[in-house]
Amino acid sequence: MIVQVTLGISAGFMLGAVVAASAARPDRPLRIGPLALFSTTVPYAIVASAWATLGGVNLLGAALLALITVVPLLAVTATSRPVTPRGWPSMVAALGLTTLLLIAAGQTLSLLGRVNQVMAIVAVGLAGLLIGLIGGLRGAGRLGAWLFWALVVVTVIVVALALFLGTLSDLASPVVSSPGIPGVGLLFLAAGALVIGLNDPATRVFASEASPRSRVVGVIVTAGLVVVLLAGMALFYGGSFFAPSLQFFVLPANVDLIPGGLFLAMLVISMMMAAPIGNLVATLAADPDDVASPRWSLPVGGVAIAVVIAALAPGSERTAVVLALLVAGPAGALMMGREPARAVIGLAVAVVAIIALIVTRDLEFGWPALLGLIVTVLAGALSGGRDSAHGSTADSAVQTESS
Amino acid sequence: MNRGSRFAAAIAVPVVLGAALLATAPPPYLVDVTAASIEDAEPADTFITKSPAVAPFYDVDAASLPDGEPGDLIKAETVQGGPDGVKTYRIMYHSTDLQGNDIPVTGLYVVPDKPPPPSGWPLVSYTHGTTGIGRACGMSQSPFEPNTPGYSHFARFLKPTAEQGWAVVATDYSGMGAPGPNSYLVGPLEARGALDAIRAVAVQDPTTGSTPIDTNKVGVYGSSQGGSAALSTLELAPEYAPELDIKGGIAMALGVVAPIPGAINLIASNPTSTAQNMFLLLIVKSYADSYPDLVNLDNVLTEEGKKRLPLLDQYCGDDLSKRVEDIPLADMLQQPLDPGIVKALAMSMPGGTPFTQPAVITQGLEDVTIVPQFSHAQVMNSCAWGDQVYYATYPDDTHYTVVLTSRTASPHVFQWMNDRFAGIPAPTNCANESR
Repeated sequence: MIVQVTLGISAGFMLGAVVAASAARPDRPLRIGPLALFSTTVPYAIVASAWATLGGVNLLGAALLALITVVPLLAVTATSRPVTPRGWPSMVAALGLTTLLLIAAGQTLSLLGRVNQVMAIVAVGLAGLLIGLIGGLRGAGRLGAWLFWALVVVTVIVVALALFLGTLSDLASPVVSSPGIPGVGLLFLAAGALVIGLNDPATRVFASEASPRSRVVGVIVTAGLVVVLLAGMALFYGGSFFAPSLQFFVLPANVDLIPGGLFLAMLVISMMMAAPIGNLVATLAADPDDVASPRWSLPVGGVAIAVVIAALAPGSERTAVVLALLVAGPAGALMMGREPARAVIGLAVAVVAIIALIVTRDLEFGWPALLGLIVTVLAGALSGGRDSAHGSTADSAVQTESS
Repeated sequence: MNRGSRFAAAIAVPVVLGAALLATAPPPYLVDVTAASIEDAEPADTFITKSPAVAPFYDVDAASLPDGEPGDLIKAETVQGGPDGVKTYRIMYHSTDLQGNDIPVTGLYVVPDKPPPPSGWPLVSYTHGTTGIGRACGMSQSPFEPNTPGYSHFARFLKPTAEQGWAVVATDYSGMGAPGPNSYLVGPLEARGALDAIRAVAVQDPTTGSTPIDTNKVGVYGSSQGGSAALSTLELAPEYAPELDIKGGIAMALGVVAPIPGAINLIASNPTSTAQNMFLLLIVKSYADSYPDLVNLDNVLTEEGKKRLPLLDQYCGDDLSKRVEDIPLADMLQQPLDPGIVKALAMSMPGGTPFTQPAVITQGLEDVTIVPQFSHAQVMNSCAWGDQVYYATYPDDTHYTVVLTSRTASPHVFQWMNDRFAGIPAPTNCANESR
């Protein structure tokens, strides 16, 4: 089993890196198509879905999670003003998203593949770094489209299995009832996705580089894929599913009965975890002055820090709350057309809010955290620095690459 | 970095990472030992071929029970004719059904026949595997008569447990002695029986030999149906019996049903299979008792299925299974299966909440009664919850031999429990950390 698992993970990394390397052609213009945008939304889908399954996901839940997944793309599209992806808010967003992805990767690969959790975190971090550095923005963009199609295949398999075993009426009236996703959690997820997405350098660069039509199509296909995949899973499990639960794990526990099933599952999962990190790395590594020589120190340092934090297993919910609060002030400033990196008061408010939530043991998707988020956004909105009227460094980098 | 270097890195780095993952992978669950022999694990005199008559001890009017809290002893008597080295008592105690009603439940209490340790005997609550659901199919009915349900479990589980220095109380489960709702694989009801059995003997009483119990050393132990009941007991304990200090649970060859409607319908619609007949009938009858709002026998069983229900009250074990395997399962169940029973199964199977106590789970990979994938799924689930679970699989063991191999090979489940009693931190071989 472990040989098949490690071969699958290696193959996933290798496929991702080769695709990225083959697309890394500085002599060609950077084109970000709608499918490439999908990989920038993957971290949000992973965090939202992993949390929501605790309460249970049905058809409505799948639709809401799909909506939350595309909030960052919608938010970035809605804000016309450029932002500096190398300001501290973008660094924090990239670091936090990488950490969240690594936490999810460590949990998933160790749980389903029985590999060492810390080693899995290190491996996915390094693979993401490799993909981002050797592929650059072009490679990461191309890999995002591959990832989309890989998940289309997974979705088709899940839906076919669900239609074979389930009945569509179960979606309207689930056989297995679940407590449901708490509304406040969904609100926090939506608000969190908004503030993180506004500062997410990969989403900003990829979305700004895609045409308006690509952005619209990207939002539609991303939301469509997420809703069909989650609804297909819900249908398979009788109209809704929740995890952890015995029935949820029956499917992964049987994957090794299919020849090569474990290999393919590990391949897709490892690629899905490493590709979005590659996006973030490629974005941070892009050098405005010399596109052929990516900056190494920033992404290497960032991934190293993310690996260390993820290895300490802080929990994805707590990490997501801390991340959302830290970037809430800059998001507020950005919404008001101010320079997000100067939202220092917002940062101070966020720190106070985080300390308060730790002390009161409310560092989770609940009302106290949501209140803290709103206050921090307002603080950032009202106290941000000067109006940001100038183009961003990274946007310049993209423009330089594109020209 | 030039194009060639990029591709070299794209191939070399993943290979190195894969090798690192392989090299640092945690040890596998597999304990590579020879399977216990079936003659040792399940001697011929433990096949359940006899269904005893219900003794007068069990005749009680459930509507007029004496006042008492869950776990209070109603009555007890010494069971005569047992082997040297143990004292055996038949007990009846208060428990509750899923609607919160006071019900009588019976069980067997086995105590080492020697001076107890100064702090009293450690106590294990034994949750038995499938014997049926009839009132004569419990542990306490005829524990010393070969080929009966009670003897089958006394000889293979209870006596060895007591001989190594623990008191052991084995609930019959609700409905399998005193009258009450049937409880087959109804996890919360089985768990109530097991927890109240602990309460019933934890307090010294002259009718049970005034046996002192060390309430700091309490555990749960079961296989097959009893394996899932043991896990349900761990799950329910903090809510139902928070005063009990349960140190851990042993669960072997977990008897679980994954509540996935399509998968259950596939099994239920098999036009030739008869092997699952007894199990499905036991489940349907028990769930109709405990979840009347969800499970109606008329909606689940065909006329052929309903015709066989009275057999469940009269016969046990192999004596029952051979009587209900005369027609295919698909002819006994309405197709597709009523969704209410799937909904009820989802409410009853263990795994919906984390355990607060450690557990050891074992599984034979040659088990065809409970396929290993169910135990794998339960272990993944427990690991995802962050439970302190230790899992061991044996390559050649079956559903019947695994119970002996679990005691004689790693993780030596009795030693595992003794370590919990001694306060040694429980090991876990989950590869992940808690979420």
